[in-house]
Amino acid sequence: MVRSIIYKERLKTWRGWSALMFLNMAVMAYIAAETHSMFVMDHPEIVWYRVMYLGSVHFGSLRSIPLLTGALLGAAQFLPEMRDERFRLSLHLPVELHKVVTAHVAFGLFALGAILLTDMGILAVLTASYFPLEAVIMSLWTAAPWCLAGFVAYLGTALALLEPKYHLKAALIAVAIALSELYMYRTAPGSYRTILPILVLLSALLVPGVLLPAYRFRFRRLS
Amino acid sequence: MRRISAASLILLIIAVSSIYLPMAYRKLFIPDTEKTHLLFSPVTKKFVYREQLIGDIPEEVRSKADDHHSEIAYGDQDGNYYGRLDFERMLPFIYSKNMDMLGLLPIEIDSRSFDIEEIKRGRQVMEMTPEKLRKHSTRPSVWPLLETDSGQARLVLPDDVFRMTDDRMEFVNADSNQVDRELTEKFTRALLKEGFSFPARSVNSRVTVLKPFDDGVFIVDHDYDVFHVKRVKGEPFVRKTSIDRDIKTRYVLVSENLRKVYHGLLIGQDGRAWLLGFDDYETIPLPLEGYNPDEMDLKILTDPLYVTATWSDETTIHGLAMDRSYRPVASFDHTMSRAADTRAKKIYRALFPFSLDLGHRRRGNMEISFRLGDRTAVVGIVAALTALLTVGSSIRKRRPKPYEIILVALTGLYGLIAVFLVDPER
Repeated sequence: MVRSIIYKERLKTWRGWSALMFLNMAVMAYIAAETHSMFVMDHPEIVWYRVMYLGSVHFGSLRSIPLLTGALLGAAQFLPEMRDERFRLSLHLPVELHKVVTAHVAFGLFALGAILLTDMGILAVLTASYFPLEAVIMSLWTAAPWCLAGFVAYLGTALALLEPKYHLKAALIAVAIALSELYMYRTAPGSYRTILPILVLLSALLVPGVLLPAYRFRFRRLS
Repeated sequence: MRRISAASLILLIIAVSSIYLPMAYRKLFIPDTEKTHLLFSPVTKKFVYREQLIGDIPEEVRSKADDHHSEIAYGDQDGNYYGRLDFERMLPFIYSKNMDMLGLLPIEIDSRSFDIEEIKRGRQVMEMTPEKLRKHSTRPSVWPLLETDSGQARLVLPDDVFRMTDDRMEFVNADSNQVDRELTEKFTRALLKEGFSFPARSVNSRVTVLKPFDDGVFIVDHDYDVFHVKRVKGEPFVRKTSIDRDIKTRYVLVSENLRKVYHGLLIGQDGRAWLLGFDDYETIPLPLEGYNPDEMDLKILTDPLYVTATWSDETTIHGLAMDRSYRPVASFDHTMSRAADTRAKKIYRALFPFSLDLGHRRRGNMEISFRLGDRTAVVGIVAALTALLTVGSSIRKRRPKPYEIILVALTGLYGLIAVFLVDPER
């Protein structure tokens, strides 16, 4: 049954996922062009100095993209389910509710992870072709919180769309925005490495958290 | 699963609230106040300070203010307040340009006359802050080694940076982004010849070209010997310094001041500090009682007559004035105005039983810390419990469950928000 859910999710989100992957690749291509132009405009040692010591981020355009990707993927996956309450059909399958919802969320996290890992991979290769290894590591530590904000945005969107009551929807959106904002402080490049594990543990609470609105959605009284 | 899910959301909301609510309160009601500037007056032989006051401003301070900044107090260690101009007159070595414009230079102190040039020649400032230490710094572990004798008026960045690996000083060329084997070999050999023991513990330098000259880098080897390394006309200059291994050098703040009296400030593993002499690497101990380099800011101010050290945490600033032979002549501890317990702070402590503080020091690493409140928080907890039992019961049309009461009793306002938003019974 879980395999069927995953097949259904694949069919449903394929177009949206491809569009988001395309958006991310377009941004990465822009970053590659921007990085190249930095080295055309200035001597390499000047660019190294700006990036490694003055805090200039050569991939700053990526900053909000994972967040946007996560929110849009969550919408692409759960908005169609909530239209005419189609998700009720899935929740009436002869499978426990938590397994159905977890399968949906796991699929979404995997799909999002594929896009964001591709971003990180391209960023690593791009940075390594212009900068020493230390700058590559610093770049990944800089981009990692942005990617994690993307996962929070995805889970927050799922949480808000599944919640049937509007005032609770608003409250859960506020919690998700507040949580994702913790990853988006404009600090020195690489400075999140010291607290990222704690933030990840905190954000991981969203995964089981998604089940509660689903229970409310499934077992609420319809007037 | 429903309970696990509810518990996760409750925990998450409590954590997020404990970050944002105290942060919002502080932004609204507890404004950031800069640290007090503590200085030693060579004229009065007393510590004087410039301080931004919070809370009630004494009438004496208000009356002395000669501009609209009546919250800025100029005081001394005996509790006297001054006007800005009188304050500057007590510090002719700091405000020398103003003194010169007012025609007050040359000035005679202790039977010696000082004109503006002599004051400039005798002045040096070194500032040590926690985020300069490797533990708190975000900078990558590669450094440029500038050409010390470039034959030009200004310093230029080299075409390469170096890193310290387990067995060599490795240079990476910026044009090719490849290891420069020849340069690596040359500098590694020079280090080994001087007795360098790999791997290095730390590399210390001032990475900028905006300095009057380049004093190279100080590399601490595995045995805690400190090596002074420079690039002179493309060739390695490596000198094993006489700095005692027992100091266990943790950090060298490289000064690069034209006086060329010190290379900089040296911090040991145990937090003690030394001045590092320029000609012979002599280490001059600074008796900075209670100084903790991981938590405190330190400033060393040298003027033609005194060396003054000031070090501070978030609430207290300490001052030690020494003569030019580094013998202590005066000391003073001062609780800064920013530590004052205002009404806003009292309400803060009553409202929030704990907080998760997320932030960073200047441009250092991000830090997260759990701060437990004090017993005043009982007020907020009782208010939250009352709200839960009265308003909460009427809104939700049911009595609170025992676990909800326990949660609010432990977390106060945060728990109240969480049980309202996450109501598994609904």
